[in-house]
Amino acid sequence: MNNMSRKKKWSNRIKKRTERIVLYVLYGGLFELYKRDSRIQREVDSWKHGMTYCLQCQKDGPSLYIRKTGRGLERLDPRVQSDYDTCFQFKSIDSAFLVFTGQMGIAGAYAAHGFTMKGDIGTAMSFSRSVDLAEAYLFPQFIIRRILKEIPEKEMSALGLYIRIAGGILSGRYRMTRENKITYTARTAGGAS
Amino acid sequence: MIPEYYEFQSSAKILSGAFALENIPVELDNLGCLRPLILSDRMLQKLGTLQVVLDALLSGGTEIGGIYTDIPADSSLEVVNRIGSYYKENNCDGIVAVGGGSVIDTAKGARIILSQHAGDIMEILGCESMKRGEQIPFIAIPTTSGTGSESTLVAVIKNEARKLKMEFISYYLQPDVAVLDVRMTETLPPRMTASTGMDALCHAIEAYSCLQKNPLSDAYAISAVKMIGTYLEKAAANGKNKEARLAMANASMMAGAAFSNSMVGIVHAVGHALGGVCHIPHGDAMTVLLPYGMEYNLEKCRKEYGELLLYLAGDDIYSRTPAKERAEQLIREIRNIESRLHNVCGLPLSLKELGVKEEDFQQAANTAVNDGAMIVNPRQAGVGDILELLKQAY
Repeated sequence: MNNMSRKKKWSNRIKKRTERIVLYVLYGGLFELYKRDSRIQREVDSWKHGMTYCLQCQKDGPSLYIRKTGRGLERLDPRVQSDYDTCFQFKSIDSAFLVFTGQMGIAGAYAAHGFTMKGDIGTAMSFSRSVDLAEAYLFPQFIIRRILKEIPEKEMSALGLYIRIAGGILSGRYRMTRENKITYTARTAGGAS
Repeated sequence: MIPEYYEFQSSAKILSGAFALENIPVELDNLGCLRPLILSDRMLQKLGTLQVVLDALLSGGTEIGGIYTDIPADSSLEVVNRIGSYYKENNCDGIVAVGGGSVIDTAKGARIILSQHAGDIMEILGCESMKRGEQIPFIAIPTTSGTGSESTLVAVIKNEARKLKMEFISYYLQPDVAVLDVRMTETLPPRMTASTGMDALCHAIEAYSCLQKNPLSDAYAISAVKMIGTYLEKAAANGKNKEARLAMANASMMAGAAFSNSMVGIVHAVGHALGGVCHIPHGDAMTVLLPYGMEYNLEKCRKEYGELLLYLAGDDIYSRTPAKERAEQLIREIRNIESRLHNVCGLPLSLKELGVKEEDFQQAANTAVNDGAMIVNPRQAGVGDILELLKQAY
């Protein structure tokens, strides 16, 4: 009785695979929108240099580490990066799946206790607004209407964004940095240069 | 309507009514606490309120481990660490906090330090990320009826070194026991009674109308609104009215339990920001902002506001008001209560009266959008929306 059923195993495998893809596309969206959407630009510019966010689907599930650098955003390798300033950790693969497939928004997931949040709540709010905006481009209108409190105006077309993300993937723009980067908190605590 | 998923926990045992304080020694004994540390502030010591608690503990045979009253309004990590050291030096094995929101929040902070054994407190900063840790018995005795701190799962501690207001949200922050005894609030002046009571009303209304609401938080919120509607003005008019005082203590606790499990919204987000930027009392900010915040959310919360009219204003007004006008009527009723309290005890009705300066609006609005309460507000609010709300409330 100690073994997980095949059904659950397969379901987890599919959900994790999907989440990995969505996290990758989400990063691409944030990366491109930072250059083209004034609201995301404002949000990211308000983050301190070295600020590192983590989005994690369950404790050992797929994750995305994003770091603010002087040039914009950088994607860090979760197998190498050990620290973050603020982390949204979904309590289960299933609650993460609801969010990453557009069945639930970040606010909805918060209301349903779908994730725990480690770090400063103020910085988490800025990140969640950025994700909401990125989702408004990445998901179709009928989904956005359901998961966001209001539909934000787009400053570029969703198709244009998808084309740029595809270009980014092909050109290797979203390649992960394979070294452990110092977080903002570690910097201000005097723990690193 | 039932949410697809919700969580609820209100774990504090409630001792409410006559001689509730005298039952604390038994509760301490049950919790395995032999030498409690008493936390309070100098004002309560001077007023004799703390002595009432000490008398109750000593007459029940409790050996007091230590008394610490050097607690400021906004506790910092330094204060919390000092209390942690004092606790250890005096071999204490539990905490009894006597005071308003500041003292109880400080006690929660000290309990975090003592129970978590974290190398760096920043490691446990956040929402639902704290482990249970070591069990530190904790009894809260509120001396105001408003913050609901005795039943909430939030603690805020200033980190001066990192220039950060650290916010901890965890079910493990709830006290083991909350004691509601009218002797603790009977010296509260009318103005303070009114202001803290409006804070409790705001907790209940926002808890009942925000995105995280659930059937259990609704039950607590409704009971709180009903009691506040019946007793707040009586308690403000006559502080010696024991029934009104006890009802308000219960209402505050219930509103705290409600919003602990469903959060608050824009009124609190803006109120917290104004408190930080302009240093105005929290209850006063809630009083002024509540009707404006409700107007902002009106179209999203029409149903919930309409339902609450019955509990705040009673069945006569509810039945006389057409269904589609009940939400607006609730806001009018709140303004009427505030106006009557203004006449009785000078409760402020505008931000101008509170000494807020218009030039602080921008900073307050920038801060408010990053407040955690904003995430569950039913309507999206940006900096521009908050600036407009502040102008209206001015």
